[in-house]
Amino acid sequence: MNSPHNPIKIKRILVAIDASRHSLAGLEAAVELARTLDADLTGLFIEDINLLRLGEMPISNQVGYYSLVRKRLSSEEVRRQLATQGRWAYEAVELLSTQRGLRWTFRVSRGPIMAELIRATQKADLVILGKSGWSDTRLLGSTVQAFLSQPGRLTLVLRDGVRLGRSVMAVFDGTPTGWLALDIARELCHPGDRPLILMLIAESKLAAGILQAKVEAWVRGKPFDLSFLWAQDLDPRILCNIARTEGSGLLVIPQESALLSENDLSEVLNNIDCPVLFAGGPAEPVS
Amino acid sequence: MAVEALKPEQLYNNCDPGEFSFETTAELPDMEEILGQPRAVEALRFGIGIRQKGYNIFALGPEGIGKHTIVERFFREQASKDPSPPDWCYVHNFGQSFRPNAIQLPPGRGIVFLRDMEHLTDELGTVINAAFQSDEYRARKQVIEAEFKERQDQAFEEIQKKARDRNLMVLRTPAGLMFAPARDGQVLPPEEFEKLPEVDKSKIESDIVALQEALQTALEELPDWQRELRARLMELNREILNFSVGRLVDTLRKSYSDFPDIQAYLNEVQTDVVENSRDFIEMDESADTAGGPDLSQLQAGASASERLKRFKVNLLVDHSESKFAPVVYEDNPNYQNLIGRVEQVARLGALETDFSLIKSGSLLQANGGYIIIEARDLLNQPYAWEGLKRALQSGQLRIETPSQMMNLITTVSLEPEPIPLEVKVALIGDRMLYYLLAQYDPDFKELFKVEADFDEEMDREPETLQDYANLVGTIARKNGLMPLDRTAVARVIEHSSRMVSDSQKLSASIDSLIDVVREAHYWADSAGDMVIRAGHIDKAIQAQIYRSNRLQERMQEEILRDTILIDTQGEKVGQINGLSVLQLGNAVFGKPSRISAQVRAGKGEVIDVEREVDLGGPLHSKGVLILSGFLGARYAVNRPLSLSASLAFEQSYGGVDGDSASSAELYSLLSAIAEVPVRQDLAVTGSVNQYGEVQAIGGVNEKIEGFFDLCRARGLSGSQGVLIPASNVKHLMLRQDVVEAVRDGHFHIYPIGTIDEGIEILTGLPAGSRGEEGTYPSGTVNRLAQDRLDGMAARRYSAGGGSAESVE
Repeated sequence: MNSPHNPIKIKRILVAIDASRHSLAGLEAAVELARTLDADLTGLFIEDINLLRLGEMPISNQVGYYSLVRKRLSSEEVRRQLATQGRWAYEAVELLSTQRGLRWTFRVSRGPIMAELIRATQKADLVILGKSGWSDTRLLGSTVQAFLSQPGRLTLVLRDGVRLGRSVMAVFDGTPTGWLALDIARELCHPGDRPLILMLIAESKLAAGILQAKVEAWVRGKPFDLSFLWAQDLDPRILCNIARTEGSGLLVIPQESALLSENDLSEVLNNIDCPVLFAGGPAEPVS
Repeated sequence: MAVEALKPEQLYNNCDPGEFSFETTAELPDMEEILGQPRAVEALRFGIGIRQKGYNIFALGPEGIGKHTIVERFFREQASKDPSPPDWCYVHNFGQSFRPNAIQLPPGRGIVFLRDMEHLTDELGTVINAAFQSDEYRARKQVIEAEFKERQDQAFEEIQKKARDRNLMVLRTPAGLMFAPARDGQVLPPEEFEKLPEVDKSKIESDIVALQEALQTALEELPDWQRELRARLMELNREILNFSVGRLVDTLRKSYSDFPDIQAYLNEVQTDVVENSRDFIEMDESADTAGGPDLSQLQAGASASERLKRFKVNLLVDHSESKFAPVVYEDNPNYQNLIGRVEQVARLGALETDFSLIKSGSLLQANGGYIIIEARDLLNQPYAWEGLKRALQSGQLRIETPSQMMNLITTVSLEPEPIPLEVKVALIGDRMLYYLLAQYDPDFKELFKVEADFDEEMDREPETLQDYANLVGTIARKNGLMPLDRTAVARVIEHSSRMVSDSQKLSASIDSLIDVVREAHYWADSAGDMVIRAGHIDKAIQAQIYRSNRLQERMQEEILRDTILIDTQGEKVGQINGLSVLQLGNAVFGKPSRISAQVRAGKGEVIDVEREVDLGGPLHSKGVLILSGFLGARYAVNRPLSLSASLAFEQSYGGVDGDSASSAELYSLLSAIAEVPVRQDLAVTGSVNQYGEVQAIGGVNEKIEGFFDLCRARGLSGSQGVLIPASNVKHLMLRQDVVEAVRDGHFHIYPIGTIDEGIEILTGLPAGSRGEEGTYPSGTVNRLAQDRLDGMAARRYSAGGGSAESVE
């Protein structure tokens, strides 16, 4: 049996980097994947137009996170801060990419964050984002949240402190994006012999058996280390625990399957110990 | 009665091989006893047996007599009866990390404790990681975190809501938060903001100020919330870990229930583990590192290893492999090797240290046993002697740097807990060192009360000879040398007597003995023999002499070429052949010297030319002054000695010391006074006292052989010989060629008791005894001398020099 879309090939990886701890973790993962998949890497730094605009207003006061001091932030100061961050981001991308011998580019764009991100990621096969930008809050960053609501993309999100691991775990519900997630998961298991754990989401054991049979038919002739789990629905806490128990190094979730609400997504990203790949690539009709 | 020359038998104490019942030393048993050192052996037994403080041993004596071997043998004998001492280790002091705790354990338990702690650390890692990954822990942690997150989110959400209500948006910067007027989810462009009516702008501005104040209030509480969160999480950690960690530690507690120190240590370990459980969290090992290790990961791994180092055990003394008390020989007794050291490692440009870098010294290794140290080496090392004394005085070993000991530095380093020290120390050194220490170091006698004085010689008695043969055989066996036949053993014994210049003694210098036997083995082997014979011993001795007698030959050559003037025939007034001994490196040889005397009328002084130019040593000067005493007593009892004499060692350029030439000087002086020539075919040695008695001197064999060699080189006349003190006859162990020459009547050795006996041989005239009337008979040397002196006195008086009357 074939999956209902063309096989995914990840050849262009874009990592959005703002020099925060979370985005640096994203850069490390991007470098690792680009090396594994022999993909081109692009680092993207966006100068937030909102900050620049604010700097030009007489009311641009910043309240420090820790000092609590209110301080006027001039336009020049905002520009200088952004330029410094951009240079820092460039050097990080250059260092890691050069060390690993990657083909890489670095882009700086200016504008609204989301608009620039969407524009820049049009041609990317995989987008990698840190969970949130600056600040210590455990909330999912607004940018990430907004970006994940965009359909048809492969987006890897991770927070500081987690790294790509050896085994891959994917959620499969039989939907087109489920197949997409499965295909991506298999792509990431290859080359090498990384094990793939497939978490079947089905209302009954029988339905799960049917899904398993379909998958087994699909993988026939493409031998790799595959095992199955079954759950009736996708509870974020259970998902995190299973990923941890199974020692998952990457979790692939179908992005458009409505399995997880926005809050659930946030909870998964805050609690899981591995990067999460949201599979929402350009779905094409079953041939 | 004329003095008779010595007979050949008196010149050499032969050892008769026929007295031995063995063919070769291969048949002989090992020599187990210590030969010829009864005093030292007694002292060692006493020193080892007595267990009181300060009864350490100083083994003193010349080099090469086996002090070290004997001391070590005694130590090992005793150590084999002593139990193995305890193990010692250092552990981290959780209260004061700069003062590591010392823990004592029964022998062999130290390594077990070390492994137990390693195992515990591994187990703790597993248990703690498992505990932190448990559902219970995660669930409870999430509840706590969620509570605080909710509190935090609520605060921010309120602010964000207020902002939204006022058409403002919150922007994050790397350093803080900002509020901006918004439209359609974007910040209002500045030019549009400027176009707003002043009222609106003021309103926005005041709204922002109000929100900033609200934000400040919310942020002010954040640190308190975070502190509270950390405290709650720490409490949770304690709850979770106390049980699991406690169970693990309890297992060890039971194993070490008899050791209060370890019980206390384990309590501290448990508390520390629970308080610092994060140190045990494993790094992510599942990360794919196919592209090479990541630097940050390596650093994280290294620091994790560093963090857990405090649970290690630094086992300094491990007696798991030993059954007895240790015997340690410290061949490089510098301070650190002796006392121990605290090493340091460079980390990020700074030097750091901890308890695991404490290294033991040999004193700690020998604790509960015995240690041997060369005294000279010890004293040559800065602070080593002070360190040793301090340890022995205090009875404990404090491992600190010399600068700490001397209070030279005040920077923080480690101050390891002192370890009780009970060790028997044997210092080995020469006598001078012992006497100097005893004289100048007041602590020395308190700490080294046992003086083991090794003799350099032993009596040569019939019953000793077989023991000596056994000793020679043992030496040959232990050094992998051929056995010696009985002739070789006899020759070794004779050479041994020669080494101590005493026909009735044997040398205790084992090293020299070994050298001779080893070199004889070489010659025997070169000749293809399987047994060392007397000829090989002779060859070894001759080869030793030849290797070192270049200077002796050059000196004799200069005499033969008349560059150095020494007569060996005829007669001369005021001139005589003296004999001296030179020791240069391994070479010891006798050298003839011409001694001359000149006299004239004067005030009774004898001028020592050597002394006048600082070439004469104090002993030589003493000898010359004694001559004045003799002359005065013999010839100037009733009138002043109106003589001025000068004595000189001719062609002497290197200084003279010792009084062994004083008899020769007196003979030359008498010859000059009496104007009687003395024989130049004779040489003289011996010191003299104020009564004219000739006294023993050293190096008699070398002196005789020195003159014999010269005479033989010029051709033995048959009248040549040497006058030696009669008291030196027992020291004669002359070369065989000298003995043969005497046997053949070509050379003569005269034992002289008094000056009168000597002067008769040298002049051929009777010396003469003072008669009842106070004068000497005519035709005697003394009469001639007396008359000459009287004449000088009279001439001096007549010249206005003073009264010549009797002073009685």
